[in-house]
Amino acid sequence: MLNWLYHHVWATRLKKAVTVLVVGAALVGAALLVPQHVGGPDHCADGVERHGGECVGVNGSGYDFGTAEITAVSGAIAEENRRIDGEPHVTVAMMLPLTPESRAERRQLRSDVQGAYLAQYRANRAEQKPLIRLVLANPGRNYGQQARVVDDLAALADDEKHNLRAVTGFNLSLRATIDAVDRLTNELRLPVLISRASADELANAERRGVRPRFRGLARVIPTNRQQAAALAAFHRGLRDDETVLVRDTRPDDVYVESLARAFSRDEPGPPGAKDQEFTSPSISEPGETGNDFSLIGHNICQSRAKVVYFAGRPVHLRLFALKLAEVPCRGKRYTVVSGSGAATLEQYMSDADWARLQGEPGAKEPTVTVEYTAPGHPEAWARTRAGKGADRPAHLTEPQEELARLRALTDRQGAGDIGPVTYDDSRTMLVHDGVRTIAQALFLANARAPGAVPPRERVAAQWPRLESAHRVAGTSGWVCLTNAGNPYDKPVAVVELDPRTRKLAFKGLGWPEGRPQPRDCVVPSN
Amino acid sequence: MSDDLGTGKLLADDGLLARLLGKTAKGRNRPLLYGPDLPVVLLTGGPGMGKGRLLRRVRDDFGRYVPAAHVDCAAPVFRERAGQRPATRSAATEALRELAVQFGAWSGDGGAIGAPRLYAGLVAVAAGDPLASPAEGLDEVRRHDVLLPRGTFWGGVLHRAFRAYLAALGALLVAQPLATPMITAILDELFERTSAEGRAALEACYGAYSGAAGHPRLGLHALSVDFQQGGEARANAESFLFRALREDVEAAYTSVRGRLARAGRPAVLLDHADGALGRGLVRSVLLDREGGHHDRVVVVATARRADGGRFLYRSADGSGDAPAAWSPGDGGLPAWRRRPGGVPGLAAPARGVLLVRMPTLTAEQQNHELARLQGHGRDEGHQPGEHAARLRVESAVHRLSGGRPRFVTRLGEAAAALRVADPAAFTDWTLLDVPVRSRSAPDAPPRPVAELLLDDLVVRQLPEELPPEQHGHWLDLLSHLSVAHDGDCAQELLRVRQGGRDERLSAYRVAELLLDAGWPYCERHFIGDRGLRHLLMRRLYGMEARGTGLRADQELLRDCFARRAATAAAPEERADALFGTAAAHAAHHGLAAGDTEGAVDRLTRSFPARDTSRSMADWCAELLAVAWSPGRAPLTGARGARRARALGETPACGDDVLRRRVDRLLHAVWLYEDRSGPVDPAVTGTWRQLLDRLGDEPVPGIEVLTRTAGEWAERARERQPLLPCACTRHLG
Repeated sequence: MLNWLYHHVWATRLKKAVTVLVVGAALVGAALLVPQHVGGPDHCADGVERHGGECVGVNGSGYDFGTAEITAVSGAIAEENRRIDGEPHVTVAMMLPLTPESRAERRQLRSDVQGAYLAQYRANRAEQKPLIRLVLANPGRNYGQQARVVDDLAALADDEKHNLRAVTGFNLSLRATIDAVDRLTNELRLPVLISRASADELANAERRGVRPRFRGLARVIPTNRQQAAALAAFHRGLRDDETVLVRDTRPDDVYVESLARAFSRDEPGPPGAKDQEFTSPSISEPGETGNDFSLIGHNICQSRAKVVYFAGRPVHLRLFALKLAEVPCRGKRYTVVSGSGAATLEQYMSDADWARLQGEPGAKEPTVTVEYTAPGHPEAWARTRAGKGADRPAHLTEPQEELARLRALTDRQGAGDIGPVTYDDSRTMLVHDGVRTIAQALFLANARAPGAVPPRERVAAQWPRLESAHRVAGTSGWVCLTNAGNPYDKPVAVVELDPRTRKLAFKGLGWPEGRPQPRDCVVPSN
Repeated sequence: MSDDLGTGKLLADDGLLARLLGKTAKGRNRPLLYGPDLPVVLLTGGPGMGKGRLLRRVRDDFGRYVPAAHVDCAAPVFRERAGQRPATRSAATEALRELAVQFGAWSGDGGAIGAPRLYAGLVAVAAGDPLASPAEGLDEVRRHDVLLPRGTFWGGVLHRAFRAYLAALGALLVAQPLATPMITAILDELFERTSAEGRAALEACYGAYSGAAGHPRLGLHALSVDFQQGGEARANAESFLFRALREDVEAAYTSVRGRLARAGRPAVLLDHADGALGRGLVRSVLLDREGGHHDRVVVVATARRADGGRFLYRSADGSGDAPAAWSPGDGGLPAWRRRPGGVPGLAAPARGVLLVRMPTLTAEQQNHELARLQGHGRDEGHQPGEHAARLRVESAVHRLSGGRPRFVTRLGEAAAALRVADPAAFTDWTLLDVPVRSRSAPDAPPRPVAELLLDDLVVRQLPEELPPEQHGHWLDLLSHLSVAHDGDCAQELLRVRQGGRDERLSAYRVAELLLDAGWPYCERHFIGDRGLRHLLMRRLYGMEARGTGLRADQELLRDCFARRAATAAAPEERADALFGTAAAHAAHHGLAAGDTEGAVDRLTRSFPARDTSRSMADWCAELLAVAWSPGRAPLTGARGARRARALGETPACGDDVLRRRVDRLLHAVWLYEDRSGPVDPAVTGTWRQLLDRLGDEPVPGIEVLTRTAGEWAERARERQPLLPCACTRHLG
C-alpha cells in the first residue's frame, strides 16, 4: 500500500510537484473552510462569533451580520465610530435580532438601525458631550442567545475605553427580551431604554413607594395598555356588544398578552360575544390558524359585533382580516382594531390580499378595515388640526419641526449613504427618539460631572429628569418620562389600513390619558 | 521464503541494482550510483549460476518502475530473422529493434520511449540493398514502422504522412523502377518530412558518423554502405546503431518532460552476452563510453568466463587494465571508477566493465531451497528416520552442488521425489539416479536428474568455439575426461577415445573450451567442478554395461602410466606433477578400476622399510595420492566391504604383516577420501593406530608418521579432504 502510494504520488519530479500542489491546495482549502464549519466558536467578525448557526455578539465596526439591507447603515455607523474613536466617548448598544428571515422584517430592521444611527449622527454634532459610539448587538433569533450577548455587553460596560452606558433596541416583546432587560437593569445596572417593544411586562408600574420591576428602565413607546386606552379613547362611545376580542393564546408572547388585557376592559352596554381564542405556532408562522379564523369569522358574523379587537401578531392579523372578509355575512362590515405591532401589516399584504379586504369591487366601503395604533406616524403632526399659527400647541409643533429636520437630513443624504429611508412604519422615528432621549440623559449626567465619563447609575438617574424643561422633543411626540420611566401620555397615531388606497390612512391622534399632553409636558402627580 | 537463491543482496533495496537503476524493486527512489560515466555490469558465473534468472528477476521486478529491455542474445530468433534477409538485417539489428520495441512499449512513468534515431538508421540499412527490388526494399523499410515514434518528435507530420508516402511510393515502384537508388529516395523523403527538432536530433547523431562531417544524410548513407560492405564495416555500423538507440533513450530522459516525469535509469539487460551478438553490443557500449559518449543506460550483461570474456582485453595489456571485480559476498557496493589516463581507442574495453561474480549458495540457503522444494513446513508429520534421511540428502546436495543454484534446484526436485528407505545405504549417486520430470517438458517421461543436469549445464550451453562437428561428441568426450587429472592424463585419454575420428580435439583445447564455458579450473582434476565431474563419471559408468566404460578408461590410464613408469629411464621421467611418481598415478587409476591388490602391493613395496631410497614423507604423500581415487561399486566393491577391510574385520589375505597394515590404512584413507557418503568416525579413528603400527618396524621417519596422524586427525575433525584442491574446498 505504502509502495503503491509512493509510486503514484512521489516517484518522479512531476508527481512530486503535482502532489505538493494538490496537497497545498487542499490544505489552503481546509484552512479556509474548516474553521467555519467545525469546532467551537467560529469567528464572524470583530466581537461576533458563531453559535448555533448564528453570528451573535456585539460589533461596531461595520459588520452587517449577513443582512444585506443594513450593510450601508452599519458601514455608516462604523464610519461615525471611527471618527470619534480618538475622543472621549460613551457607547450605546442597539440590541435586537439582526438576522431576520423575511424580507419585510429585514426592511424593518433597516429602519430601526437607521433611526439609531441618525440619532447618533445628530447627537455627535449637537455640541453636546459625551460623544456617542453606537454598537449593534445581535442576541440571535427571538433573543434566543441574549445571555451570551448580555455577557458581552457587561464586559463592554466595564471597558474603560468604550464605557457602555445605555442599551436600547428591543423590538419584540418576548420572555427572553424580559430576561435580557431584567439582567441588564437589575444585575448589571445598565440604563436601558426600550424604543419599540410595547408589552406592559416591559415597563415599570406607576406606583409610588414600590421598588421598580426594572431599575433604570425607560421607554419611549407607550405600553399596549396605554395604546389600547388611547384606542378606546379614540373609539369613545362603543357599546360592549358591538365589540368582540380575538386573542392568541400562544404562551410567552407578552405583547399579545398585554394587548389582550388592554382590550378586555369593560365597556358600557349589554355584554357582547365572548372572547374568541386561537393558538398560533409562532410569531411569524400562520400554521393552522386559517381554519380557526374561518370558524371565528362565522361566529362573529352571528354576533352583533362590528368592531373586532385582535390581540395577535401581524401575520395572524392579516390572515384573520382576509378570512373575515371571506366569510359571507350579509354585507356586514367590520373594523378590526389591533395594537402597534400591526404597523408592519402592510408589508405582508399582496395585491390579492387587498382585493379580498375590499370585498365586492366597486363597493363604497370595504368589507374589512384594519385599524390600529401606530406609535408614530409621519403625517400625524401635519394633519392634526388644533389651533393655527402661534396658537398651535407646542406638543404638535415641536415634534413637527423635529421631524422636518430629520427628514431634511435624510432627504439630502447628509448622514451619508444609509440605504432608502422610510418613515411610514414609524420605526425610524421611534428608535431615533429613543437614542435622542439617551443622548439627552447622558448630557445631563455628564453636565454635572464635566470631564469624566458619567457612571451608569448617574445616567439611569437622569431618566426622571427628562420632563418639563428637559423634555425631549421627539419626532414621534414629546418624551416626558415618569418616575417609573414611562413616557407620560405619549400620543399614538390611530391609523386605518384602507384597502382602496392600499395605504395607511392616518385617522387621528389617540391620547392614553384621554387628553393631550399638558403644556410644557409637566408630568402631574398621580 | 523467496526464491532469490542468493541474489538477495544484489536485488535488495540498497543493493547494487537498486542503486544503479535509482529505484528499488518496490519502486522507491534511491540515490544514483556512479554517473555520468557508467560501467557495463557483467554478471559472471559458470553454467547454472543463476545469471539469466537474475536478469529476468531484474526485468520483472525493476521493470515495473524503470524501462528495462531484456534480450537473450543466444536466442535463435535473431539469427533466423537475420538469415531471411542477410543483406539488410543482422542479428544485431534485430536485437536492437527488439530493444527499441520494448522501450517503445514502456507505459510507466514518463510514457513510451521512442527511438527515432534508431529508426532512421534502421531505415537507411533496410533501404540499402542495391540488389533488392523496389517492392522488397520498401517492405523492408515498412517493417520498421512499429518504431515510428507516436509523439511529437517528428512534429506530428512525419507519422502519418511518411507512411502514406511510403505506400504511394510502393504503388508507384511496382509499376516502374526508380530513377535513383532506393536509399536516396527514402532519405530525401525522410529529411523533407522531419520537423526541425527531429532534424537537429538526426544531425547530432548521424552527423558524427565517420565520414559524415556533420551531415546526417551523409552519415546515414555511409552507415548503409558500411552495413552492405559486411565484416568490420558492418560491425561498426551495428555498433553505431546501438549508440543511436542509447541516444534515443538518453534524449527521452534529458527532455523537459523526461526530467519531470522520469526517475531512475533505464536498463538494457543482455542475457548470454558472451556470444558474438552480445559481445558486439557490449563492446559498442564500452568503446563509446571509453570515448566519452556517456549515457544513462544501465547495461547489465551476463558472461560465463570468470574474467568476463577475452574480447575485453588487449593482448598487450598489462594488469593495469584489469576490470573491477566484485561479489555480493564482499559486502557494500563496488567502488567502480574509470581509471584516468588511457589513450582512447587503445585502452582495453575492460576498463569500463564491472565484473559481478554470481554468488554461490551458502549451506543455509541450500537447505532453505531444499525445504521449499520438498514442501517442508506443510504439517504432515514426520516418518521415523525421515530426519536422518533428510540430513543425508542435504549433505549430499552440499557436496554435489558446491552451491551452484541450478544444481541445488534440480537436486532439490530430485530429493522431493525421493523416498530414502535406508539412510545408511544412501550415497550421492543415489540422489543423482532419482528420476524427475524436466520443467521445460513436463509431459516427457521422468529422467534421472543427473541427465537433466547434464542437459542443462553442458548440452544446452556448448562452448561457442566448439567446432560444429564436435557438437554431438562433446558430452562423450567430457565423460571420458571425468577420470582425468591433468592435461597429460586427459590427452592420453583423448588420443585413444578419438582414435577413429578425423577431427580431433586436444586436451588443452578442451580445457580452454571448458574455461570459456565458465567451468572452474582445478589443479587436481581435469573437470574442475566436483558436481559436473560426478555427473560425467556417472554417465561414463552408465555408457556401457556394469561400468565397463569407466573401468576401461581407468585401466587405460593405469596401463599408460604403469608403462611410463616402467619405461622411464631417468627419475625425472618417472616423476609426476600430481602424484609424485608415474607409478603412483598408475596405482591411483588401478585402485579406481578395482585393483586394490596392485595398489597395496605398490605401497607395501615402496614403504621406506622396504625401499630405503624413499623417505617417509614421500611415502605418506604417495599413500594419499593413491587413495583419493574415486570408489564406485561394483568396480571397487561395496562401501560396506571396504569399510570392513578398513576396520580389520575382513583382513587381507597373506602373511605379510606390513602389507596387511598398509591394506587397512589404504582402505581407511580411501573410504574417507571417497566423499560420496558421510564421513564414518569409526574409520577415521583407526588412522592413528594404523600409522603408529607402521612405526613398529625399525624405520627412519617415524616422527613423520606421528605428525601425519596428527594432521589427518585435525582434518578429519573438520571433515576436510586430506588432499585439498579447488573443487573440493566446499566439502566439510
